[in-house]
Amino acid sequence: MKKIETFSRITGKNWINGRYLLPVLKTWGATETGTVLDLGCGESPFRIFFQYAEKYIRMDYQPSDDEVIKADMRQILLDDNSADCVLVFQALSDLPEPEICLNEIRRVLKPGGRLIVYESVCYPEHDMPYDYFRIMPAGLDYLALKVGFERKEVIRLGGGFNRFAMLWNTYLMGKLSMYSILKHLSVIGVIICNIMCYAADCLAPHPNLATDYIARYVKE
Amino acid sequence: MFRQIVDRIKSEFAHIYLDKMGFGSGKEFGRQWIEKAVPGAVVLDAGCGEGNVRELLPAETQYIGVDIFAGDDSTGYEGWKHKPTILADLHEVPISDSSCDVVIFFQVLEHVRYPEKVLRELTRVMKPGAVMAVTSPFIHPIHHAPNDFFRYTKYGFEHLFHSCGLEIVSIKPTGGYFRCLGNVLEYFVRLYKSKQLAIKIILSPLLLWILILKKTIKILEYPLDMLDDRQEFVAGYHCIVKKGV
Repeated sequence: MKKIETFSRITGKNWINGRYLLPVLKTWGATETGTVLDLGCGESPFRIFFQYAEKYIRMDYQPSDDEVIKADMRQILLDDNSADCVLVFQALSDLPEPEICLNEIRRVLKPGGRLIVYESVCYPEHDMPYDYFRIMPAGLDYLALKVGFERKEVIRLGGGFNRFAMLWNTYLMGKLSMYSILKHLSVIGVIICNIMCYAADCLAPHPNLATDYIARYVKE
Repeated sequence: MFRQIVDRIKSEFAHIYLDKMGFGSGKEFGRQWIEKAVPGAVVLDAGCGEGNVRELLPAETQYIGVDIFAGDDSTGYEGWKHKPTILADLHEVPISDSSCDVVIFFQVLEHVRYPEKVLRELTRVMKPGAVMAVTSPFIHPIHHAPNDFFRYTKYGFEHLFHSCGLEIVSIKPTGGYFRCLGNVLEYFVRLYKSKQLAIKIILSPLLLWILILKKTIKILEYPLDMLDDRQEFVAGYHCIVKKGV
């Protein structure tokens, strides 16, 4: 039950996205044993994947509980060369100058430390006015290499139909579920859409239409 | 016949939406904008590509098209109708200061590595009081990879223009949720056609659903988008900015 709870917390109605994201996080998270810094953590839904980490530091501009350190992503309150891994999950595009943030991350990372970035490329505008842009994989590559990171992997999550599932589930079905009579109809719609789109993605993938990507960079 | 009626209704609607709601396709916006160019004006088309804008301009205007590619085989963009006037990187435009009356920057901002630097460069080239029209998609698939870098939100655009010292005249969405959905559905039909028969048969129930949605959206796109009051799903933006005197 707990597993399902975390799953739905991460993916919302788009379970299909979780099918792509979770296996990647599991394999990457299992190898992190040192100090992990979660920047822009929110409620840290991804913490369970980093259970082998010796220390898990959480930072956010708007802390959700007492454990979280209140800090700006452009001024990280850590010493130089102190973290083994930095996570920036759906937070980089909330800054007008992501380059400054990447520079700071480079400063706090130990040589050989990893930076893991998870970004959406297809997501409605949210948290206005703290939403400046969507960074495409090539855009992140350009910024990270400029700052002095080395690219290890960039994985596009989804195969095209998950974009359709995302548009269908979050908006149309969300609107339907607001009316009490149509609530059950929206549940059926979400389930059918997730199953069909997952099958379609396996059969006929179109990675240019992916909604998210996860990338790993190494400090040289 | 049916298609003609739909097109007719949509073009009637396009004007209403462009004026009142800000909705209206980028093309519609582009045409209205270009036709207003004053005779004798120097028009800079930054990232001109094939030069589709050139044909729409009044004959008396002086047209300068800048692009990094020339439409030859080596770049994968072969067979262009017109070649750019100047072959140059937009990060360093070889045009003297304050020399253009109108700058057109359509669907290129997402393909430049350093958008702020490009906009500064274009601002330098503009005469004081000159106007620039910018369009860029927002919820849109990756295209022309690996040269597809950023998608700007409304606040992203505001921040960008302010940091370049430009005055904002308007920033409006080119379409709401239903246009985004329609764009995605277009891709699927194309994808479906390219697959083997076995996969086609398995995907057919999904495609039927998609085709029904697509037809509905095609006819009712503008009225449906008007119902989208939150305007969080935005297909793209078109902006008009001005250089201060």
